Amino acid sequence: MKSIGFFNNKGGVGKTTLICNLASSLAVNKKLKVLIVDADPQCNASAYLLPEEELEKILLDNKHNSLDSFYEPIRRGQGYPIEMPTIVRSERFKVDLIVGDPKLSIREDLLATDWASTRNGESRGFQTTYAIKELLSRLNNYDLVLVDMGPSLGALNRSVLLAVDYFLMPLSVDIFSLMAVGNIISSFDNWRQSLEDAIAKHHRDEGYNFQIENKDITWDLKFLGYVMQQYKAKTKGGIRQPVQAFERIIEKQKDEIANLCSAFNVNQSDVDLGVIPTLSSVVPLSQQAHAPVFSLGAQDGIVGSQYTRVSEAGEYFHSISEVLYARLFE
Amino acid sequence: MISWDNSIINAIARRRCVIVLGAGVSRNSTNAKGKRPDTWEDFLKNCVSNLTDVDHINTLISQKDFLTACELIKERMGADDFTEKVQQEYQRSGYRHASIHEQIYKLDSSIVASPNFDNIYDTYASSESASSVVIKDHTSSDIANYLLGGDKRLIIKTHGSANNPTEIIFTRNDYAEARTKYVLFYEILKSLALTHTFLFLGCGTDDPDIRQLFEDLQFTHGRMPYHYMTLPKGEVHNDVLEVASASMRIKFVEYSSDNGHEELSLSLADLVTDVEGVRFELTRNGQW
Repeated sequence: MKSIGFFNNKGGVGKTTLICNLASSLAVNKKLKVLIVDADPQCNASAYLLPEEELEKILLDNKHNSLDSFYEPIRRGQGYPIEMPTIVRSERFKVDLIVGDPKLSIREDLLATDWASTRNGESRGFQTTYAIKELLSRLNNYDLVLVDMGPSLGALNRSVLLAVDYFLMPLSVDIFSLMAVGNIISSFDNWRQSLEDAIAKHHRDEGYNFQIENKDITWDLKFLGYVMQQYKAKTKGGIRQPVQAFERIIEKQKDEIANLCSAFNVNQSDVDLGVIPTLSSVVPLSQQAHAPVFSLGAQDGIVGSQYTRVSEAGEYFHSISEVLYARLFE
Repeated sequence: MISWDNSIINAIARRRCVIVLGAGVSRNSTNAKGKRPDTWEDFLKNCVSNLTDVDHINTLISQKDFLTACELIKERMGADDFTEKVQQEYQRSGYRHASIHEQIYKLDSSIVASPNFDNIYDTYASSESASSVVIKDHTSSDIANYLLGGDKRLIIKTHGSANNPTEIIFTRNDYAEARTKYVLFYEILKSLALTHTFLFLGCGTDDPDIRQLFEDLQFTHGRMPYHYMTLPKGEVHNDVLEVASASMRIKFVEYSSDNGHEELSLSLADLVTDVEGVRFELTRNGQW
């Protein structure tokens, strides 16, 4: 199993659309067994993947084990729970899902407090910080686990990033998205240093390293790449061109991406996974239908040249999933 | 490149535009042998080449009186042979859609009208849209049902289709007969011209129906918004265009005919982006 966190500190970059459609494309075209973990307290991915009544039923069901409930025994100092969060099926996307929970935002406190004790090299802190890694370690019957994350550099996302094999960054061309990349670089650097110190302290105090799945934990996050949400464009002579105001930002963004690449020791040419156009009128329809963009049809309200948009959008997602598949499995 | 007026961009974005495809649009297509669909003139000349005693017909063709020439040719060939010839040229020749058809389709106009008998655009639009376009012609009695747009996309074959060759409007008699037999259809065209902006692509200024319709409207209703027609630069003298513009309320948009009218296709791609941009803004502001 390989796991990827979808992360950008800046919201509104098309992250949820990207993760759900890519997951579906990989499941349908590449026959992968895919699970999405909705670790964003805003739960957008859950709302997209499941019809409203179904999601409502799950959330109101007393027997439903939410992602948040996974933390309850940890909070009580009883270690990791035996029971797994409930896994549900998204029929139209052909993927499985661990539904999100708004209560996760409250867990930030527990995670932040216990990060302090992690930094002191205390086992209990490590246990809390690595709860998501423990969870992922139990999902080996999947080929791929994708984790949707909220737009913050808080404690919850830190513990997701310490758990996944890779992170993938959805980006858009705007000044805030540009600044977000800078924040990411300095936060990651900071976390890595703290973690390395913490591991050393833990080893000094306890005589062994903290382990998940019988393996020493280390900082081994890899940067898989970025997907650019395409800026508003002008077409001149049939060729798409960026609107002038964006050119400056695009240039600066390239520099930031170069920094990120050198921080993660990867080639800049390998991390450009593709683009997704912004002006896709079919995205709202796909949200309404709780279905992947590329499988929309007349029954979902598609008319006229939206059929072309549907197949175009399909090509964008499928081509990114081809690249991902090649990078991860070939 | 053509710099499109805001008024035509807005009309298309709001789906208040009828796009009219003339023979010039079909000329972008080729079949497996590299052949393009005949122009009206070429088609008539081909027919004449198999007939004898044709000097007077050739004279009519050279005077561009195609309607009369076509009438005489049809009479000489016999209706069956003539119909066969039309189908062979416009239905069975296997013309493939070109990039210009894709751009036109992407404009997502709720009504596209065409006097072409060939079914190049109709076939492309049907296959792209999972057959959800509605195709009607002058003989259809229920076109009115599809004019309001919404989730419907209508293609009107104003002179019929090679699929139904006995009903096409091609000769002088066909024109005259159609105007009385299909009065309701012409009323619909007239209402469309009053309520929509027409964008003529690959059409000439000399189609008798169009001429009459727009002249009538212009002189009945006086000041009206302009319709638009693209034309290759230099094809019609400016003075002539000015007369046509004044009498028919049509603004002419010129482009270069170099490289097989490439500039028109590319400019339409620009128009697609402009229209998408306006639609995006309209949706955001709720001001459609």
